Parts: sequence; C-alpha cells; structure tokens
Amino acid sequence: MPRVLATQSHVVHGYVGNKAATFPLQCLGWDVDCCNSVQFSNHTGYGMDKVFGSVTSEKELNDILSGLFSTFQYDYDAFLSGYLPNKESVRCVGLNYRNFKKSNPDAIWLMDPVMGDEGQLYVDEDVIPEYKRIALESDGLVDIITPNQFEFEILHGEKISTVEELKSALTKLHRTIPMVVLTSCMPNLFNDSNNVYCVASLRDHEPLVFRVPLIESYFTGVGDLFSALLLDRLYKFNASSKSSSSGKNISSFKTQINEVLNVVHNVLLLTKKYAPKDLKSVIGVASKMKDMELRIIESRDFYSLSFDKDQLQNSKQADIGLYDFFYKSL
Amino acid sequence: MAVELSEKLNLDNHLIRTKKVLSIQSHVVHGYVGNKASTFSLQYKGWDVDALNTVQYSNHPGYGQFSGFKTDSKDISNIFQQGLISGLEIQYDAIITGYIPDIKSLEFLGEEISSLREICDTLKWILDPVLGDNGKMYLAEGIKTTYKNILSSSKIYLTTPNQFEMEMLTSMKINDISSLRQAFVIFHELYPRVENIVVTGIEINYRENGYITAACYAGDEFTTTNNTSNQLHISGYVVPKIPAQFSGSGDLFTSLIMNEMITKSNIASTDPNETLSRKLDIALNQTQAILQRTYNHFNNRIVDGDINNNSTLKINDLRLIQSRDILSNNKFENFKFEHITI
Repeated sequence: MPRVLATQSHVVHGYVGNKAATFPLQCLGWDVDCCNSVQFSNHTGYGMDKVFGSVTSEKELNDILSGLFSTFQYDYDAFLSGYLPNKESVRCVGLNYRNFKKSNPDAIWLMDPVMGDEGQLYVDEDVIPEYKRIALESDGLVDIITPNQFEFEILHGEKISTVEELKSALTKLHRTIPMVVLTSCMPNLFNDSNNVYCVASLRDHEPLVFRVPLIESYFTGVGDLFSALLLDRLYKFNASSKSSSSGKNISSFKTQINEVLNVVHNVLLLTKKYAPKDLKSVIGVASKMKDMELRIIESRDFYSLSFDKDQLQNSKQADIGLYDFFYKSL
Repeated sequence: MAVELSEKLNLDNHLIRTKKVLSIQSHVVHGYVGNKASTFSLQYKGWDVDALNTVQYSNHPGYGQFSGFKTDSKDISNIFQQGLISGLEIQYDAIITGYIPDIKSLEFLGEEISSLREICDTLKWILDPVLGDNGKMYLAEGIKTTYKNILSSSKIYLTTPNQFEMEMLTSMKINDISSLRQAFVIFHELYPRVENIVVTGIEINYRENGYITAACYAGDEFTTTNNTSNQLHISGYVVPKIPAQFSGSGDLFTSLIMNEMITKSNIASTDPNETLSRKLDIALNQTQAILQRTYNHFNNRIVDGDINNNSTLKINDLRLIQSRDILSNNKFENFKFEHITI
C-alpha cells in the first residue's frame, strides 16, 4: 500500500489543503502522513478577521519533517506539497523533501506552487524566488507541478497570451519537471468563458487540452482536491509505465487526467446540490459560507471512479456522470 | 452510468443532512492515534469531522523518538470560541475531547463545552479522560483534578476511561468483578450527570486470556433515589486478548462506540441498558476485527527467531486504511464475545 507525505494547510472546519486532500487519498488506499503548515479555524475566504489559529513556524516545521526523516526515511512512495504560508516554509519543505527524494529515488513529488490566482498574489512576494529555485534549478526534484495560469506565468517569468507562448513555456518548464498540469487557463487563451481549460503536458509529448464546463461557484479547495487525485492517478500511471516496455503511454496519461477531472466535476456538482440556492447572497457571511464547503465526505464513492471510453457521455454535462473532457492536442 | 451513480448516492431523493462532530485530540503526522485514528474512521462512516489538534507530533512517543509541538492554549480557545462557535455558529451533533496535555486548554474547554451543553440539548459530549495506561500516568496530576471537576459538574453523554483512568477517577483499585462493580457505583455517585460510561481494557483474573469492557447506562441525572446503586445494570463483554500492544486502539474504539450510539439503528431496544449493550457489542467487534487484521499483518512479517518471546509485541500503527471494508460494514459481528453481568 502506498504512503504519501503531504505538507499543506490544516483547517479545523471545512475542506481545503490537507483536509481536502487527505480523505480522498485515504479512500483510494493511501496512508497519508499529513504535516500541517498552519492550523486555522477555517479558510481565509471567510474573511481575514474570521480566521483564528497559527502558522507552524519554520523551526516547528523543520523539527517535524527532519524527525520524520530520521524515523521513516525510506517509507514514502510520494510527496505532496501545497499551501505554504511564507518563504521560510517553502524553503524548509524544499530542503526536507530533497533529502527524502534522495532516499526514495522512485518516489514522486507533486508540487502545487500555491501563490495566487487571477492576477492576485495571496502569499508574500518573497515566496516566488523559493518556488522558482525548486521548480527551475533542481532537475529531478519535482515530478509533477500543478500551477494555475497565474502561477505558471510567475514561474515562467512572462505573461502568456497565445497558445504558441504556452507551448514554448511548457517546453521550458519540462527541462526540469516531467509532468506539468496547468489547472486552469485564462478565458482569453481559448476565447471561451463558458468552460474551464486545463492543459496537461507530458515531457516529449504534445500537450493535451481538456475542456470542462464552468460551474458557477465560489467553492474553495478545488485545486487541493485536484492535486491529491492527480497524485494518485499519476503515481499509478508512472508505476505502470515503468513495468511496460513501451514506456510512457500518452493515451493512458490522457485517461488518467480525464478521470481526475471527472471526479472533481462530480464533487462540485454534488456540492452545488447541497449548497444554498442563491450563492451570491452568502458571500462574506461567515455563518452561511460554511454551507459552501466542498462535500468531500458525501463524495466518498466518487474518488475511485474509473471507466472505459465507451461509458463516457457527451451530453448533459451538468448532471452527475462520466464525460470525455478531452478537447484537442496542442 | 449516470443513472447508476445517482442511485448509488441517493441523489434523486432528498439530500440527507451530514452529522457533524468536533474532535479535539492529538495529531500525529505518521500513524494512527488521536485525531488520526478518529477522523478517518468517522469520516468513512459519513461524519463531517472538524479536527482541532491539541498537538502536532511527527509520530506518537511509542516509536522512542518524536518531534513536534503543543498547540498554544490561546489558539485552542480562539479557534473554538471565536472561530467555530460564535464566528461560524456551527451546530455540532457531538464533541469528542481526548488527549489534551495542557491544563489551561482543558479548563477552558471544560467550561465552554459545559455551558454550550446546558443551552443545547441535542449536543452530545464524548469525553475520553486521557491520563495514562497500564498503571502509568503520562499527564500531569493537575489534569486528573481538572477531569474530576469537569466530570462532577458537566452533562456528559459518554465517557470512555480505560481501567487505569477509571481507578484514578474513582480512587478504587480494580482487581476483580466486585471491585469493578464498586468502581462503577463510586463513579456514578461522584459524577451523577454522566449518562453513559464504558470502561475499556479491564484486566482481572476472571478471564486471564481476555479483556473485559464494561458499560453502564445511568440516565440523565443519576441519584440514589431513582437509581440506587444495587440496581445499576452493568454489562460487559470478554474480548479475547491479541498478544500485542496497539497504539491508538482506544481512540479508534471511542469513535466507533460514539458512532454506534449516536446513529439511529434498528437494534435499539426500549431498555437503554440493552441498547447500550448491543451497540457496545458492535463497536467491540469492529475494533477487534481491525486489531486482528493489524496483528496478522505484522505477525506475518516477523521472521522466526526475530522476536523475543518474553516481551509483548508492540504495534505502532493500526492498519486503519486497509480496514475500510470493516468500517463500512455496519453489521460486523464475527466474534462472539462472552457477555457477562457485573
């Protein structure tokens, strides 16, 4: 049974960070060692004056991670990192995960470089050079990276406004990272604001574009759920590639990404069924916003969904179901 | 396929409200004790679990070395009071309190949950008075006093001390059936507002190869007039010993018995003692099944001659994730435990 070390935020109430990642991975059979970079009452979307708790200090984080290293050095099959609140915590996770990767050369690290979205940073600016160092300068350290377009542009160092620019930026990032999954692109890139575009790219292959209908929502933690599920599917993809003589198979990669998108899509649809009908009216009202948390527990049976191509449906993507979200190769 | 999924999740019917529990216990990054044992078990049984961590350690101390820190008592009180209760106004069905090593935090939580309990009749407080085990205290003496104060004044739905903790709370040494019964009587006299009590892991000569788990329903307000001590109905089960010491088994059991007791089921009887006894049987069966699977896993890995036969096998990690089938089977009753009246 695989074991993953996951370092990201912990909220007592609600489902973001480790709370969004842990249960789905456990349902998929993973032993999840969750190291919490913060302990907050709830996520910051409730308003900063409604968040209580503390950031785990660099020393505390380092004590825990190096303590794990001394006792469980060889025990991990995968590493996950998500929201880290400051420069020190990013550096600390980088250094410790580097040691772990040396002891577990076959293990994979999925890094979600959480920095911001839609033009806005929500971590300190000095986090940027730390993420760049890990992503760009250390070949072989990170196996999978899951930025949104904003984070991708920060790592790349330039804005991306055309598909050609996107392609060349992916090629550049592939020098150090074998798998890049751009979780959501800006609407102008594909001239379409009714769908979410996700680009998944495997080194030395054409990037794949997936198109998922946009669910109008204010849900938080979707990216964290996505990364966790992606880690599971790509870990299995990697393992099967190793045992196969033909190496990495792009069509199997495509299937895995499509599965992850389907699971997330269905979790969101189910969450929406539970949520208040008039979502806009509850924004900022802390006692109401709690009804919009992801329905991670109620979605238990979704996580292990897997399916054959002929089970996929093409119509009515607003209903719970399984769809082919693949759009085109770039 | 879409139809099958909808049916599986019962989506076309009304969406059932998810039960909410706040679990205040330890957090270990590696392994399954405290909140790491409770959270997954309860989530897999459909509970929305808010996990407030009293410590964050790399692993539990049973490994010989560990690192990490205690959560500041200010953080615990702010998260609880300003965050969850008055900020988000969350209506919990249950609150579990377990390992709380800091006296200030325990005092604060004791007072706050007590007063919450007085104004909210549906809230159920499950208190695991974590003090120590196997004859050894691993928390400060002041924690014991604080637990005594909380237990003597608060409306508590269920408490789950182990034998050592029961002895500490009643000052009664348990070494046979009659002293066990006596401890229950003292407990109810000292702590009359505790509704249900389940004492785990009792080792007495009555059954050398088994642990007794004993339970008693005392009702809302125990008084000698409505429930004289010789009418106390205490039932127990003899659970066969597995030759190993498990870390986290108590935390797992507390979650499972709480789930059984709070979840409506068709095994309930009109006699609350009988209901408690039946639910205890199910929770013990599930716990035992998970411990047995864990034991088999570790035992198979031990090469002959690798272990000193005189020392007890210590198993640090429950095979909890690998026991999902046991957790999702609500009628798990493979073991026929001997039922005894105490």
